[in-house]
Amino acid sequence: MRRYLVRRVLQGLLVMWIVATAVFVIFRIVPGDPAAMTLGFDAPPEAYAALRAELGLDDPLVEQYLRWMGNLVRGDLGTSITHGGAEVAGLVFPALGRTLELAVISIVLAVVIAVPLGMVAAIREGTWMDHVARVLATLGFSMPTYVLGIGLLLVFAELIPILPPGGYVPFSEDPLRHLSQLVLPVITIGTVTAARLTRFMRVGMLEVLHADYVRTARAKGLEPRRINYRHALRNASIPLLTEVGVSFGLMVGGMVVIEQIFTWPGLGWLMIQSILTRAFDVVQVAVLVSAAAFVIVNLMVDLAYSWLDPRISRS
Amino acid sequence: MTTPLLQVDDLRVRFESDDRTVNAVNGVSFTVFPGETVGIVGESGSGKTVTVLSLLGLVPSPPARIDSGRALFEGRDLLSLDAHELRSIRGKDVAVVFQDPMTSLNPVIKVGEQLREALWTHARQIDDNVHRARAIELLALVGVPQPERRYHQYPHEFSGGMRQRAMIAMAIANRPKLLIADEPTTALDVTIQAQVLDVLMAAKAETGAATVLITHDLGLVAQVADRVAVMYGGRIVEQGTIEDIFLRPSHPYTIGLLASLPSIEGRQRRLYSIPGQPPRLDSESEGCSFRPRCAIGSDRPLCAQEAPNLHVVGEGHRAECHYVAEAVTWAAERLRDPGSATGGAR
Amino acid sequence: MGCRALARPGFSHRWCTMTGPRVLLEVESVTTRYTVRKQGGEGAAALTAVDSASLTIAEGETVGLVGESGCGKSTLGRTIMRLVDPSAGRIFFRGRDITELDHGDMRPVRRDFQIVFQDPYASLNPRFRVREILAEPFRIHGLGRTEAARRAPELLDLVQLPVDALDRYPHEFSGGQRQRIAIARALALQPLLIVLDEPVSALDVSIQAQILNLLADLKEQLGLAYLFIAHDLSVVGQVSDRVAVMYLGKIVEIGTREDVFTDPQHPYTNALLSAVPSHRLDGAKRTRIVLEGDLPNPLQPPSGCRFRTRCWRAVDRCADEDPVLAQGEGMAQQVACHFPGPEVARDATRGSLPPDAGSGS
Repeated sequence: MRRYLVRRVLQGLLVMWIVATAVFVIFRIVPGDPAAMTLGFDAPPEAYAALRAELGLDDPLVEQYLRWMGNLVRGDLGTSITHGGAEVAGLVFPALGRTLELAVISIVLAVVIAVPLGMVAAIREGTWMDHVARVLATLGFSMPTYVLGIGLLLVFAELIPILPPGGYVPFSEDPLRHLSQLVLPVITIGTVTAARLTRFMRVGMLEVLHADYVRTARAKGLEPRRINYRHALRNASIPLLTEVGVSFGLMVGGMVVIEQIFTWPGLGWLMIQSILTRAFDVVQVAVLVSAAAFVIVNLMVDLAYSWLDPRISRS
Repeated sequence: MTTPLLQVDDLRVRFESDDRTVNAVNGVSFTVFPGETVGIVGESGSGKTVTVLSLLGLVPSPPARIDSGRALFEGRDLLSLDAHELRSIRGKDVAVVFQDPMTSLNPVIKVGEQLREALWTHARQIDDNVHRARAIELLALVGVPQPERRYHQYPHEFSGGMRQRAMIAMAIANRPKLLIADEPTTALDVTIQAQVLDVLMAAKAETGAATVLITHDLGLVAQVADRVAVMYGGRIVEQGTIEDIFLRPSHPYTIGLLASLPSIEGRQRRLYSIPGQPPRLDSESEGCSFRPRCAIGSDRPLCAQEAPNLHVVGEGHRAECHYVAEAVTWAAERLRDPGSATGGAR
Repeated sequence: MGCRALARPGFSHRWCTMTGPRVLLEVESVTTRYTVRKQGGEGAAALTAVDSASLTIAEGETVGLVGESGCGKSTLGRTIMRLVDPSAGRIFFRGRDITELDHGDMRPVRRDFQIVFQDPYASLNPRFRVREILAEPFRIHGLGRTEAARRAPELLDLVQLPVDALDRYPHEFSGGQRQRIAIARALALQPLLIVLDEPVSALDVSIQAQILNLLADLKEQLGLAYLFIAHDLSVVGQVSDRVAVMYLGKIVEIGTREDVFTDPQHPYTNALLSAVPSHRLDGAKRTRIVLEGDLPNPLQPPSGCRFRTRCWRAVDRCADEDPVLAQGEGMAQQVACHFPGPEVARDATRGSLPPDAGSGS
């Protein structure tokens, strides 16, 4: 078991290294001169040269690469010129925190919706409940998040203005307002994710309900409720867990559009802002952190998997 | 005349899917007396499993539908019980040992726990520890070594034979009056089969339960059963004691089946083989369902027009055939001299 | 029958000039090892699926290979066909050493021996029509489509399928019929030997007899030799001229069908035969032997004789010395046992050894 863990962590580090290298390469390939981007087009030529020297942009690529990797390994994520020399870490990590907040609450909502819905659809296969659940799931699945997000904003922030139209205040400052700002984005992401998870739950449950061991449970005289929860759900949730992990990982990196719509200053929002303001040093780190979050979540899912399913590596 | 433990009358079960309807069980009647072992023999598609499992409502119901029939168990009609009543019988008065122990045990729950659950579900008021102790006892009874340790293991940590022993333990946990064994040894190796069969028979002796053994293996039935029902195309075509069936078979299908079995005792020059394919059960055809493959009736008009009724061959021995006498004569030449190569050999 | 080999590439001329029943296949001490990942991903281990197996098959002879799951019979069959490479030992076909032939050199040899698998639902490509399935062997060996088209109806006739089957797909046929198609495919290039790996296990009893009869007819008509691999002793007993019994990778007994079945010498053979339920109520009563315990872990086979953990005749010597397959006194067959001999009827038939570390999991 420990060897498995070690191997997975090493694999994760390998992925991180590949991402870091890819980030480095991409930002050197992208056309445009970072110095010019930062200073604008009106600065005197010496200023560009100075900035380029300061950023080490004229050094050989290999040297730049080694410097980049060296800094990363030491945990030095650099400072951002565009943000007036502020620590990049100080920008990225709080943003990550805000994204995580959204992601965690959304995934919880998604699971809370999907599990019962999927279970009912499977248990009552073929009945109206099943059909309704499937229709809802397909609807949610095919709805682009931004459409739903904007739609909800229009309805609940414009037409019936009971919720704020996005924005962010820290919980410590104004808890009530903070919570009200969470509602729409969480519903947007949560319901769309719930739709996907419902389909998985339903299929997983159906497969399990037709399994031989469920027939044995019936033959023992167990009630349906016990069979559905104790016998069926435990088996069906194993593959569901993988999906939950994947969804969560994707959320962390991919909430860019949602964060824009609701002006929620998370990692995605930060990335967009930084791209628009040419703060590439921030973007690089944001991408890296995003990738790291995904790798870690996957690792945790794998571990949870092997803990849930006794058939896997209990040596 | 003892009262039967189980009496099934004219059971009919249909499978409905979008494009067709299959009459899996087409009018089956049989009786099981307390303490005896009845073998229900047939090939795939004969309806043997559906017949028995539908008595307990264990056949998924869509797509299966019980059209008609009665199944009196200790005076109550199993087919008309509601879900709650049926549950109180399952695992308690009637228990099942299924075919594939690999898939019939829940892979994520410990074996001992599954056993304890079987006990607990019919005796909720008793303390859990008592159930646990009894479960360990049962594991020991069926010959699982180190039962205290094995209690906490998962099914994948058991070998095939041990899993089946655990299944048997689960089935006899509440001392059922009727034990149903659906191909209990088919998925096991021959030497393990012998072990498990021993366990099954010992369990039966210990609890005094009547047993219904569903199988395609005629050898198995000859070894352990008291009476046999041979099924074909959703009907019982012959039933009687094992002597009746194996020494005096009277239905062309039974005879053909016996003649086509290779045996380790002697090598036959050529096996008899029943020509043709098993029947499709989706059409309501007239006449005898075995006719297309029957050495006796394939060109007799009566067999084509009228479905045969149960013909009494002897005390408790019945065959569904218009021409039992001819069948018996045919059997005499076919079975005594298995080397004869002629006649419907493909 | 004449020497058909003369018309083929890759034959051994010496073999053709031999007289008397010629040995078609010679397997000499073949060992096949697999590397398997241990549970929990903790490294790898070597699984010896077949350990030093030797047997011969003569022209027109059926040799049955019987044993329970994990005994290595299927692996041996595949090794002989070079579908799996042996780790040690040699294989001779028609006098020629085919153990290390590369793919290209093996191809002409494969015309002469073919294989039919167990699962009639998996061994036929569901996307090909029967016509294409039967044409494939011709295509592979460069024999042209006209030849294939000419032979196809003949092949179907040999296996008693109607000619209109050519245009249909496998899923339109029943299990028994598909097995006939697989046999027809194996016959396409007029092989001398066919390896049959559990050919009737997946079939219903009534269909089983049809296929066994078909195989017997084809053997007579075409002078085929068979290596018949199965776990069902009654079936093996019905078709075989000679029988080899395998346990945990080793051949423990080999001899004619009569000798092995009526006068078994190895305790395992005795146990195996006694475990087969017989439908002959009037048959002779056999000693009932019920083996204790389970098959030992094939990754950690018992030292010395592998069967000793379940053997009631076992003594210390059995743990130290692995018995060699040899013909003992007063018997016609070869046995690998220190104490061979028939099992006399007795009361104490259970194993005397407690379950060993090598058994169970």
